Amino acid sequence: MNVILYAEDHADDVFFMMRACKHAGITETVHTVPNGARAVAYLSGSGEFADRTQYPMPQLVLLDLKMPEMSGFDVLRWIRGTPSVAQLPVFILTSSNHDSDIQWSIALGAHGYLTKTGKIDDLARMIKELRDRYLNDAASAPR
Amino acid sequence: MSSLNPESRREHTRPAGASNPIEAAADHRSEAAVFEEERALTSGLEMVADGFAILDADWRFTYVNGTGQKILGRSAVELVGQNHWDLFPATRGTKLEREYRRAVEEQVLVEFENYGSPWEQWLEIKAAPTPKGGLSVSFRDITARKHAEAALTAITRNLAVQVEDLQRLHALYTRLFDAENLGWMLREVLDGVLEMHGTQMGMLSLTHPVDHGLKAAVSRGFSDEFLRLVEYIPAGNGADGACFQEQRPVVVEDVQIDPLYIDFQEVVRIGRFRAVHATPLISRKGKLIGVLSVHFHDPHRPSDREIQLFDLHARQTADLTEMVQLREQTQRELAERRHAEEALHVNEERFRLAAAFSEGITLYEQDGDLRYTWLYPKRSSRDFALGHTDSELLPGEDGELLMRWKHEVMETGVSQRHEARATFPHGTSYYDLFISPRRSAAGEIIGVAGTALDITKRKELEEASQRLAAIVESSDDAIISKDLSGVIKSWNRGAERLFGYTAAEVIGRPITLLIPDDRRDEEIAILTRIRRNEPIDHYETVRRCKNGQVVDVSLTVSPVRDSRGVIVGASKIGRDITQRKREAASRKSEELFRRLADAMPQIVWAAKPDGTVDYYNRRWYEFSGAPEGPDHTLEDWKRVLHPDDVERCVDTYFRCIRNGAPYEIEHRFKDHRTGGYRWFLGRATAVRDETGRVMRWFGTCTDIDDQKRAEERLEAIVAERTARLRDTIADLEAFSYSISHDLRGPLRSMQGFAEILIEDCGPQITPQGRNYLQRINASAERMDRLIQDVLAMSRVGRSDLKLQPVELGKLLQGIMESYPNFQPSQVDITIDAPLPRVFGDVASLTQCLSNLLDNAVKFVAFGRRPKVRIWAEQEHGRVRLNIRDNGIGIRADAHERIFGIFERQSDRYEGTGIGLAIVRKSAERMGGEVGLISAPGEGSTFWVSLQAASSAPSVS
Repeated sequence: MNVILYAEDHADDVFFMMRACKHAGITETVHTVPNGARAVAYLSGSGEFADRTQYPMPQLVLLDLKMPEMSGFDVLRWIRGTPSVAQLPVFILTSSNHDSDIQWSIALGAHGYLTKTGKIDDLARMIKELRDRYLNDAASAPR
Repeated sequence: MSSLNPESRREHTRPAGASNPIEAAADHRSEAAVFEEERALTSGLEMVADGFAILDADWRFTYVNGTGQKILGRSAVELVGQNHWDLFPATRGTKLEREYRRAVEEQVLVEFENYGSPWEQWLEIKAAPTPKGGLSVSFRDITARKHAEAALTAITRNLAVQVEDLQRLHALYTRLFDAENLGWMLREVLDGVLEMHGTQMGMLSLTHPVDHGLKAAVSRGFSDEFLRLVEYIPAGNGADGACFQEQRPVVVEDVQIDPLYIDFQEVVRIGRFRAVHATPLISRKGKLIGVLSVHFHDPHRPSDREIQLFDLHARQTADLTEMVQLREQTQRELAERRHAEEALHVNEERFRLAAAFSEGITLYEQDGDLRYTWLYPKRSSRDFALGHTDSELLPGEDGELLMRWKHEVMETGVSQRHEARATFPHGTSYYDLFISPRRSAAGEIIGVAGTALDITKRKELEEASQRLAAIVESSDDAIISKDLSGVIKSWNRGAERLFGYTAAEVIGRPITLLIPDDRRDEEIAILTRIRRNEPIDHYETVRRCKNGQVVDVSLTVSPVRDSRGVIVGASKIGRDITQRKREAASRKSEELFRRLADAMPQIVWAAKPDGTVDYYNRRWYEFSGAPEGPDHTLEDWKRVLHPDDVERCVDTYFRCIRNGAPYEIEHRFKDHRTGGYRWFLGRATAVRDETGRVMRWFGTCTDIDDQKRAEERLEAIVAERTARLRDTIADLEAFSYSISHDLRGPLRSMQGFAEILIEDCGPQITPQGRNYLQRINASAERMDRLIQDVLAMSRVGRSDLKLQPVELGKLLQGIMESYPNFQPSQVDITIDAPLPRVFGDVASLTQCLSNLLDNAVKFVAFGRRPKVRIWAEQEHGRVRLNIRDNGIGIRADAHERIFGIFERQSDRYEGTGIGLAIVRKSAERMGGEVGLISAPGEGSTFWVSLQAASSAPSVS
């Protein structure tokens, strides 16, 4: 089963994402966590996330940058430093178009950097493209 | 000769007509008696060997004795009664008839010799008239005698010739005997020989001294051509050569047929002779001296006489030649001897003079035992030596050495020369000793002889001069001698040291070598003074060294005289006073320095190369309160220094002293007047000599306390402000960061929910409500753009630029493709390609140009299709990119203002008022400029000027 993990503290953005997924007709499960620490917990299968039937390993991770407890950078750094998940495709999804943010993200091993938009349609196109590239037949073979 | 009877002989011999008693008596003799007499006579006559006949008056034979008949060749019968003339008609008209008739006619006895027909024999005839008118004739055959006589005559004549020849020879050779010149003598000989042989050609050749052959000495009658050919005649060639080879006379009667000349026909033709007679010249001692040859134009067979004479000549010539040669040699020898004698004489004279002049020379002779036998010149003081040997006279090494040398000379017969020493109780003498062997007449060595020249004085002089030379050599001063023309004659080590030239380099070269060009006159003046015998003392001047450097020297110049006291040059003592001069100069400058230093507000000091301070100026003493004096220790300095600065200062100072590097340090000194410390800037530099060696250190300490304190205050302020600024910047960063992240979130929510509201609740919302929602959405969107622009603006000022060549055409193409409102469906954008490359930052340039393009298409009159033209101009290495639009244009008074932030030209057009501010700022950060040409209603042309990038590779 294909799963997308989305770490986002902003409820509005989570809402928009869900709506965009519906718009795009995405049937896959998008698990959202409200901060970086929870994302790490999910990926490492600790606590409640130990139940992989309920919380299966995702094939794609979307990270907001500015989050409480652990930022997107922290999570990304952890993922790339943790062998079991190091190969996961990770995308940064943030409102910042700061050069330093973009550069840091790439440097830490993000597959891509995406800026948030208030337009649901734009977001839907974006998530659809990601799903098509990373979660279809080739989904298990990260680039 | 036989005779008739004595009487008749008497009658015959008696002169005619003479009468004496005996004749008279005969006249008186009787017929009978006469007859008797006649018969007796006749019978007597028959016995005599002579023929006898009697003719009567008619010339008839009346009687002929037997011998007569034999001589006449007729018998008595045939003769008697016959007429003589009839019977012997051949005798008629001959001497016989004439004599017979004369005897009859003149009645005298005739006596004659007759040769003739018919008897063909010599007859000695005596005819006497008879009393009867007839003639008695006695005759005798004298043919034999006549032959003998003829032979004798011939011999006599021959002898006479020979005698004559000999006399001539004698005369010739007598004349030649005293000849001193061989050539002349030989010519005379040859001429004599030729005369005697009646020919004009001849040659006299002498044995070649070296080659086996002959060398022509003199010749007559030959052409030069021939003489050249026969100048040298090898043994065996021709008659002369054969004669030389065989040492015997050679006669060639005809050269054309003689085998000797088979090979020399051409020579013979040139010589124009047919016959040769050559004879060797052999001296009495048997030495072959040469060959004498006579030549004849025609074939010739020499007579015995010629041969004899020739031999005679040859012998004489040989003798004479040898003699003359000997004489010549003798004379030569004599001359030589004379010369030698003269030379000897001269030598003796010279020797005598030499001996007289050279006091020290002694001639000696020693016998076989090496005892002195003779000493010259005689001196009573030396007589004691006579009869003694050297070893007796000089006990010890000196004498032994002498003996050994002399023995050697006697043994080897070879002269030796030594420097001999003789140590006497009163001192040591040295001799230049010459030892040569003495020989007896037989050549036996019988002792030695020679000369001994006393060189003691010379030795002493030599030693003295060596000592002097050593002194000169070791002198620190340059000691030079030169002749009166200024040519360097000697050069000591001091001169080498001072001027750099070695003796070998300068001896023989002019002294002007050392004189700088501007001092040439000096040398002339010096030489002039020297010629006048005026010495020059301690004249200070400058001279040039080999390396071109000029040194200060003090010269003392004195004339140099030869042994006769004539000034022949000058000696020059030069002392390098550069040091002295330098010291004097430095004393002077030091004095000046002190005075100057005391007048200065700073502390001034000086130190020795080792860093020991040997001078402080007045300020130091005033400030530090240190006692004045010449001695300054490191402790003095340390006491004045702030304790915290001591280590740092001392370390730095001595590091500089070691390295020679300039010293500069800030430190505190204690002001003894207030007890407080003040900051000083300490500085020092090394003063070096021309070799780079540090001579001194000069330093200053400048009071920088006020300055230092002001500086400290300033620095504190700067640090504070910088920190504040840094905080501000950090705040700004955080602010802009949070704007990016947090301020845009709510806007997004506003937008999103407005959109969702329309989407979800569309039917329930009135058109007015829908309009409101759209206005909320638009405001949120504008707010987001504003935020983005402000962020961009703030980033333009802070981000790092990377200037590189940028292809403007490609960059613009990219911008046009990525912005929807630049699409051809919306606007007409014309680019005058190709556009040049510029130096710029790709991001900044993109921001700059996209803003300009955005403006160009935005500010167009409503309903008008935007038209934009882009072109570039290049000038002075800059590119000016122009963007012209067909927009509304801008009033001139707004041209400057529109580049300000938040300046908007029109409310009718959407915009944040930040675009042109970003354009200007980014252009300026790339070293560019922006500007515009515009008027309302006429469109605008915005331009950006940037540095052109011509050759570097481009990045778009």
